[in-house]
Amino acid sequence: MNSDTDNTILNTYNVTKRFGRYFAVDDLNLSVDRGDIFGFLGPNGAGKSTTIRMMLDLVRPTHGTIKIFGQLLRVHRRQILNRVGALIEKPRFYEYLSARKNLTILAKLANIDPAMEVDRTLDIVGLLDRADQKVKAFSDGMKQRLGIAQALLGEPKFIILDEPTTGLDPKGMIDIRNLISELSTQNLTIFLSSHLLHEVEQICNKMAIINNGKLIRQGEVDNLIANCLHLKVDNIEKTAEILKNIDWIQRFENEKSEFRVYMSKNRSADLNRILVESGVGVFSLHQQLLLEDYFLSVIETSELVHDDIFIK
Amino acid sequence: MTILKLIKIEWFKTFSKTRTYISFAAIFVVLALTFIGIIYDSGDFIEKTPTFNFLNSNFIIKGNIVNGYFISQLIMYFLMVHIPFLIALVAGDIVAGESNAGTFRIMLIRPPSRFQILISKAIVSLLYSMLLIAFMGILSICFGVLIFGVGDLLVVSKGFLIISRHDVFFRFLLAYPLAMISMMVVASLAFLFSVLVENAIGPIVGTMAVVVISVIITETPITLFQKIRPFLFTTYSKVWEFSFLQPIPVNSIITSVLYLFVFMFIFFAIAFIIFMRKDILS
Repeated sequence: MNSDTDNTILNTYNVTKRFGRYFAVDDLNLSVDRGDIFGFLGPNGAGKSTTIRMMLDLVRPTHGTIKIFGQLLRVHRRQILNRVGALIEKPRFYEYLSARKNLTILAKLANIDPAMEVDRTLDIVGLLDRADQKVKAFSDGMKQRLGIAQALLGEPKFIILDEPTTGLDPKGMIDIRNLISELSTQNLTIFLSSHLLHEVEQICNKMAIINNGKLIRQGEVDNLIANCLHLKVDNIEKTAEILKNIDWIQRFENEKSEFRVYMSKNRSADLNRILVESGVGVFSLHQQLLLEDYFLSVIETSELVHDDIFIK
Repeated sequence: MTILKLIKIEWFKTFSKTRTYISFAAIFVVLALTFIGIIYDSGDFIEKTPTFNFLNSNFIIKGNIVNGYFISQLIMYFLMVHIPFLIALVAGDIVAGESNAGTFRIMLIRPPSRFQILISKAIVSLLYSMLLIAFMGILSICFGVLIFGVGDLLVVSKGFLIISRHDVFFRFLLAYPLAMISMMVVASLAFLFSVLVENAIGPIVGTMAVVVISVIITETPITLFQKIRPFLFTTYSKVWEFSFLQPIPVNSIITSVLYLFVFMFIFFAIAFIIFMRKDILS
């Protein structure tokens, strides 16, 4: 269930994008609160970039609406985009112009005085000393930094980053992760789409997973990945019966004698005790902590999210 | 963000590209070669034409036919094919170039609307066309008069017409603005193609294909083509020629100019409709 309050920065309501018969995004409902670092995950072709482009009015939804800062995007586009910064995939600039001139143009488009602002953002991303160099001489990593710089122009309140660490060396990736973490402490809301799962795991507090255009999971990262328990037992029917009657278990699925149990945090010891006291032999019990495993399992099953299961 | 600011930004971007200056350089080179060629030929090329032979055998010619005004008027016929190519180089790149480069992704997520951005680009492509024609006019007339001197203008059009040297300059003052209008239609066509595709080559080739085919249909005396001609903008593109008739056919000029503006409006309208609905996926 989406919460449409003042605390909510982004809401998408049944957003769908169809190209001919192909649904790139299908009935997507996202909710991002103020101060979130929101991870947006999905395999290639899942619809992440299309979703982001719809949020920035580069692509028009076939159905559904998008609200940012509580305002309808299609009605209040100008006011909204004045407060949003974005980096979409591999950033492109006017290569025949310098970094400074590129940012000056973009600042002027947003009615931002470029005098101090351009140098400020270039300094943040470590490109101030290359400001007057033409972008065509920049490496991919430098262009990526410049892309982040342009997203920071005008001190936006909501930043959308699509694969921000693409093309960066390991140090650069760490720098960007640190930058994102620092930005989040400045009352900024960040929407981060990334293939690098450990990156999302490290810096995001909330996330959503989409596959084939559909939302699979959404919620707090700690709850989503820490509450998946792998269980191997000797009595499948009895275990299933017990699990159905425990209210802090959200749902479970099993394959032969192995169960995947989705439940509240820090209840694995309780579950073990209940099963053993009921006469079920527990061969193994381990918590799924890695986002990667969680991501892969979720994608494989591609279950649709249910409102009553996960949203906090 | 006002349209004026957007136009300034667009103008700056356009004139920061090397490609923009190619057209000016090309005009300079062509004019220079033309003048050099005529000097080398000592005006013999005129004397070899059947028209001049007819004149020479039936009239006594006093004065200099091959003067600066005559050559400048001749150069205006470059407007049929050569100049449209130079116009398309920039007007065809102004939208497609951004699509190809991917820079729309950073431009269209800013507050100015698509309409504002597109109209600034449209205005710059028109201003560029006007500047190019003005450049051609100033260069051809100034250097033409400087090198070949002034004189009466001989115009061959349904007969022979001599326009007094005192009158010719003002005819050019009318002809060049009319030429600007006809080249603005070419710019609007190139602009439309620029919106349709995501590379700059397509609009240039497309525009030239339309111009060349239309000129062939306009200029070829075939009955079937006569029925098509009213629907082609090239039929009205030579409106500048009316400036060198006596009397100047004002009604014909007004009609042609109106048709040209209608074509311009249609090309731009289609471009805007497409762009406003376009998904930016590049």
